[in-house]
Amino acid sequence: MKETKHSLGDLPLNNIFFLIVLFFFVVSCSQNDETQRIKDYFADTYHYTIKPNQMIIILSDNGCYHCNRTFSENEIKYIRNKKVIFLITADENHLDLSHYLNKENVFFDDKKILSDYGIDDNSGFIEIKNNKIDTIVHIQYDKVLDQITFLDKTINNL
Amino acid sequence: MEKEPEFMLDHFLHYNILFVRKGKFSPFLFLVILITILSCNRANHTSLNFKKHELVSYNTGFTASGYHWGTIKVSKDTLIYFADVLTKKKITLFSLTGKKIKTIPLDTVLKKYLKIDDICVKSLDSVIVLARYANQIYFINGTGNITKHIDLDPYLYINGYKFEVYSTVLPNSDFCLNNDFIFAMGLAKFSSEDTTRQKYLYDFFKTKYHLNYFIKFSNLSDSIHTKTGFNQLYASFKPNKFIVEGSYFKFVNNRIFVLTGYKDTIYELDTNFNVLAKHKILSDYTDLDLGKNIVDIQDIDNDPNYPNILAQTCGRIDKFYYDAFRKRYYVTVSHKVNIKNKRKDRAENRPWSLLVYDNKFNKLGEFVFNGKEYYDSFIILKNGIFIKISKYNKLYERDKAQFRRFTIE
Repeated sequence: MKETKHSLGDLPLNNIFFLIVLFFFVVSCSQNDETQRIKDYFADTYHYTIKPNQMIIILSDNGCYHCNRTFSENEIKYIRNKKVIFLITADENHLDLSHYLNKENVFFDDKKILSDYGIDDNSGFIEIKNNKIDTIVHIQYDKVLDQITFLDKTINNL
Repeated sequence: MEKEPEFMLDHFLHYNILFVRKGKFSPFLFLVILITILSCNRANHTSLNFKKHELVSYNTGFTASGYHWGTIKVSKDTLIYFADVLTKKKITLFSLTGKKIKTIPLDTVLKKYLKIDDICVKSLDSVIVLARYANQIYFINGTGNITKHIDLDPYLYINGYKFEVYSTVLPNSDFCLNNDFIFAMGLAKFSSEDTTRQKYLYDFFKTKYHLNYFIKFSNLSDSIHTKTGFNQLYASFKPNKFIVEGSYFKFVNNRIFVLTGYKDTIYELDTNFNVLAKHKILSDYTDLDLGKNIVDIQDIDNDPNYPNILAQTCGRIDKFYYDAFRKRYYVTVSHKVNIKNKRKDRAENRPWSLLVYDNKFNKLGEFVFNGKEYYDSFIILKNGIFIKISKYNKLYERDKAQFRRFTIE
């Protein structure tokens, strides 16, 4: 039997359109799914309802110590910002958490339950915009300062 | 309920009952019984009697890290101390019955440096602090005030290299041996003619693997004397191999025991860093295969986290203790787990074994623990081994140091 190969160019235009719609549908579903999981996590664990526009900052002790420390120290300034909540999965013996203790918008997840909801618990942030996850960023050792600047801008525009 | 060796028998009996219920005695059933018997022999080949006792809690007000706790003698009493050197910034001392005796603040030292590497608690009124990445020693009194400061930095330019000193990461251990300080050394500054990352790493490890591991500071009250030694720990490693780990050493009766996760051997040294013996560690339950799986430096660019993932999933020696009451050594090994496991299940919840050795390093037994119930962090007292309960244990309470007492007789 003769083998035939198809490229995207061989497909009729309506099929391409169908594939594009399918792609966006899948991407949209996965984002919605992740949004629902993060909402469920906060509701189940802390009886807290995520707001339509909110920044979730995750402070973890996984991986690079200096990155986590730099990130944690830079975000202390948002401790009284009502659009920001902090989720701390770090152990207080691995990161100086003294500024985050006994604050209203700080949640502690000692047992790293977040990862049970399929959400990455490394240091970073999740922006909720119009009730959906808009941006997820995880701190990387070679980009941490740029990522902090990006977070500052995003919080200012929230 | 934590998995202890005796419970394994229940699992096998359960499966055998299922086979009998299905009716027929077959060669397969015979095989299962044979394997069961062999397995039971393997799990219980020790004559040691392992018993679980009560839960003991200390109201520390912080999560007690395994790195900063220990016991001291104050007149005839033994006290236990726990320290939080980052968030709560204090050392709290308790009696064995859990009564809080004293709190020593660490704020004054931490105003000088951001992080403490380790502490030696000498008495209720004397603590020696090593500042991390700084080569500075501070003596503080019972109120936390600095009474003396020693700058070690001038002594750490050796043969053209600049070093930093580190204490041990083993629980219930520190850097003070009699009136001397003994530290592991790390290269603080290293320059290579090659500017490419891989070439730089190659040159770095080529140098590191042959440098002396230890430095001793003596005669601290007068003109300080230093001695370095022991370059065997990593000498067999090729420079294209990337390793990352803390320093693991413990002083026992004027000898130094050194271990690395990358070998299945524990080195025993005298206090001048001469090797007296090498003790090979063998587990009945896991391969100690981290040393066979060291990543090449060229693989680091693809995934900088890969060495950590290997350390979290390969079998390796983890902790070392000496039980002065029963004249025994305890070695813990982390079991090999699937590399595809979630981070929580490989880094924190993996099973581990407690290997018991007599004072001549003959193995007396091995006991398996479920990592979701207990950490391999101990305090050893006259009435038993106190093993720290995991934060995933149902009994866990935040801001307390909680241990389960075990006896192995």
